[in-house]
Amino acid sequence: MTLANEEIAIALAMPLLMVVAQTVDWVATRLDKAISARCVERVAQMIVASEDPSEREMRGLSFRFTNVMILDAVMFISEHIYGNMLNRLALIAEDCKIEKRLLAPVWQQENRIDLLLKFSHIAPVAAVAECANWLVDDTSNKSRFCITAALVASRPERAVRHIAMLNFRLSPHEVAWLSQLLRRVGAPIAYTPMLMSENKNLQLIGIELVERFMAVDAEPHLQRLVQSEDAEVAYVALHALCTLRGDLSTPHLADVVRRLPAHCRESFIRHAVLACYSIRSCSHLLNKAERVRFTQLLNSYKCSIICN
Amino acid sequence: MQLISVILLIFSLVLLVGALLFVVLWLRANAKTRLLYSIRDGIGNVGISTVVEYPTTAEPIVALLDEEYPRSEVIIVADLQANNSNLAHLTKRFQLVGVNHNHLKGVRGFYRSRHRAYRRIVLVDMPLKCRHSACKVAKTIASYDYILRLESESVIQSGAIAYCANIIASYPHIDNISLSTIVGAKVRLERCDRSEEPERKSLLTGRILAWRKPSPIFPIVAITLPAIVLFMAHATMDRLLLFSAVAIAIASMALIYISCCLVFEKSLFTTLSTIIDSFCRFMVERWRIFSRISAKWRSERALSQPIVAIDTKRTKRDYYDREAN
Repeated sequence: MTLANEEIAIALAMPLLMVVAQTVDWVATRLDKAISARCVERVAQMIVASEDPSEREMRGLSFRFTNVMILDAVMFISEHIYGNMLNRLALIAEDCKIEKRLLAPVWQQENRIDLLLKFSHIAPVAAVAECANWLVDDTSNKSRFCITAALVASRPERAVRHIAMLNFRLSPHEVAWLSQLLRRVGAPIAYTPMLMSENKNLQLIGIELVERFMAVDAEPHLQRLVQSEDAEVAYVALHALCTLRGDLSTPHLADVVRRLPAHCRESFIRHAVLACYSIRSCSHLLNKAERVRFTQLLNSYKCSIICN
Repeated sequence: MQLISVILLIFSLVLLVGALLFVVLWLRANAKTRLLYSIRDGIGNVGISTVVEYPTTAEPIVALLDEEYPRSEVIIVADLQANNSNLAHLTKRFQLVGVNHNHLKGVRGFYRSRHRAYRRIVLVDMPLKCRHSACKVAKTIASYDYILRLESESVIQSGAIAYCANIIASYPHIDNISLSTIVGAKVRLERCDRSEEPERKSLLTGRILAWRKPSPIFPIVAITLPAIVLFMAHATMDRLLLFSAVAIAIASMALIYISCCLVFEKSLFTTLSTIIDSFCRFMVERWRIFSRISAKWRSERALSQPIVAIDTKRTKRDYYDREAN
């Protein structure tokens, strides 16, 4: 019995679908990577040139590459530069009018969050600040965080004010993201006012900055924050104190550690061993079983034995 | 022939329902664990210790060392005496030196590196017969709060450790998070604290975190099976076989759709093989859950039936005597 052409086509549809999908993916990926690399190279050349990019160069860039490609290239480069180079990058983004062309889909819920986060990479751009201000009344926590990030990037001098306006607790991921953003845009990072603030989000960001910069002069503030009623702030402050190899012999620390949940106490033990504390300096904070655990970890040579 | 057609139809319908459920779960897992942006620097105090148990090659270890996330380490549990030819060179390659291990039960040797590039490696020499306690030993010596268990021959996907760290950091520090993946090699991320926490949050992600060696049979079967069943349907003019072919084709296309979405560094063929492997594992787990539930239902039904009083003194002989009378 012979097969009709349609039946043969149906039978071969699946293998053909696989081959077509593989080929399309291969070609698109290769082409995309090649063009993106060229775009990144061109934007990087414009940034490191001795003079500001001319209008002709800007028009050439907009003509050769799409807005999405330029935006991705700007995002990629912004992760590797800081300070004055960011200003030139923002100039390039503004002259190519990226943000105006891409602002339209911002009103759609799904794209808004992604685009606002991308915009926070091309600071400082006035149009971004305007757009973020329009959306500041958005009720979704994710949107509010992305709007805050865009505002902090476009107006770093008002960063503390923008962060203080958030009415929800930031997760460690968001805290790390904001502190990275502050470092990248070259904002004046004064961690002492953040640590002394009543706002829990500012305290968390301040602790993160202290830990990142190993600011040992902030130890008295950390000792105070360890006694905070907020369990998350107390826990993070205790970790930061260990990272700075601060003094753990203060009397109130024993109560603080005792109040922690069991898994937080284990985490504290691991962190203290990594920070090269001796058993003697931590014995008053731990019970008998935990002292054995501490000694076991110490004996695992968690401290560095690197010679070269 | 009719019986075969019916069986094949039932099988294909089960496959179709399973594939659609798999796609729905994958989409839901993707939506819940979607990251807007991944931070590659260390995030706060989030650190991950990866455990590789009894690997036979160095490929998984090298892939883990290539990870950029700074707060991570690699704990290799291996039996150096059993597998001399493959793993004995590890100590030389990574410049490992033996350190004190008297506090670890069942451990033959404990090695760390003096070289800066390999500072993240911890090698534990444990006999293969003590395999069941390998994870316990790894949790005892882990430097960080979270432990990521890989299958023995699986190779981690680039950026997977940073991704896991970002997911963990999306929740408060005090929360107890565990993460597993619905696709790819079996990977389990959990806290390494020995105390049981009642408030564990179990997350499921739709990303491939690790790869196993792909089997070429799976994608070939997925592509050719609908055609084979269609040819059979045409040859026998059986409508049931035609429906079966359509059902199998839809199920295959659903899995190809997931593969197309997850194509990163590997080819579509390799990704499809991994997805089908994960789908088979998913169906086996569902079958086990179904068997457990049906066994439980049957036992509950048996218990709910009235109990008949049994006269234990009456013997079989008495019974036959009574019947005779």
